[in-house]
Amino acid sequence: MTSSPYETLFELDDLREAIRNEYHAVACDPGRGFHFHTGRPLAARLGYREAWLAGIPESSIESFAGTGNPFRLGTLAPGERVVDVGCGAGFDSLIAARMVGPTGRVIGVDMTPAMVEKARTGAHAAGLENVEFHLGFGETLPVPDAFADVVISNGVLNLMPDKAAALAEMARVLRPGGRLQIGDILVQIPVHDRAKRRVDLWTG
Amino acid sequence: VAAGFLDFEITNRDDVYKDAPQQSYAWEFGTLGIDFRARKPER
Repeated sequence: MTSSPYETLFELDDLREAIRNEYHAVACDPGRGFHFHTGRPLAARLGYREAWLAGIPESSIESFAGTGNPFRLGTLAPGERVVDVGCGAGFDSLIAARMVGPTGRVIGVDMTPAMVEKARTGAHAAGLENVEFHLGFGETLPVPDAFADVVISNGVLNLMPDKAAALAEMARVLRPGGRLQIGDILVQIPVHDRAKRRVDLWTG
Repeated sequence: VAAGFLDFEITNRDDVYKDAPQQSYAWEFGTLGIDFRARKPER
């Protein structure tokens, strides 16, 4: 896994703004239709169990836009501490919060204000007090060193301009022996330069 | 994998962009959704 060569193509702030605009739309107009699947149909396609979705507010489910299923790698244990990098509207964070229970704790971080607001509303609606959401970047997580037993993320690492920094930050917030459970994408054919210059191909 | 992680493993691959509502270029680059895991060393 290598860093994305975004530096020669875009200003960091411009790239982040394009990504933020795309996911603002996923938060505020999730039925609009995107070049990726969303919501409950996507969750079913990715193998989320109905039991995991029980009690998760529809507002969080409808804005789900992951590319994998961190819980297919193993469920979380009661009492575990979890960081969800790029938590969006809180879909995976809320599932994690129910898995780890009241003795566990989940911190979700996302750079899109509308997503963080929707995630907080969802946690309140679900009556979950062991989860909190913060605005921030994956490359500079607002989380203490060695906080987490598990870092989860879903469809987000591919969006981060500096992937090496993002992975280093995941390592920083994990305790020694802690684990990554990540959903993301795998690109099997080299992306040509013309496509790399298309900002819309960096946003989803 | 970067950052010193151990035991990197891809455990699942899905054609997650198939039949997306808007045109996706995922097929052009053989893009798949994946699950992967890794572990931070104990010390």
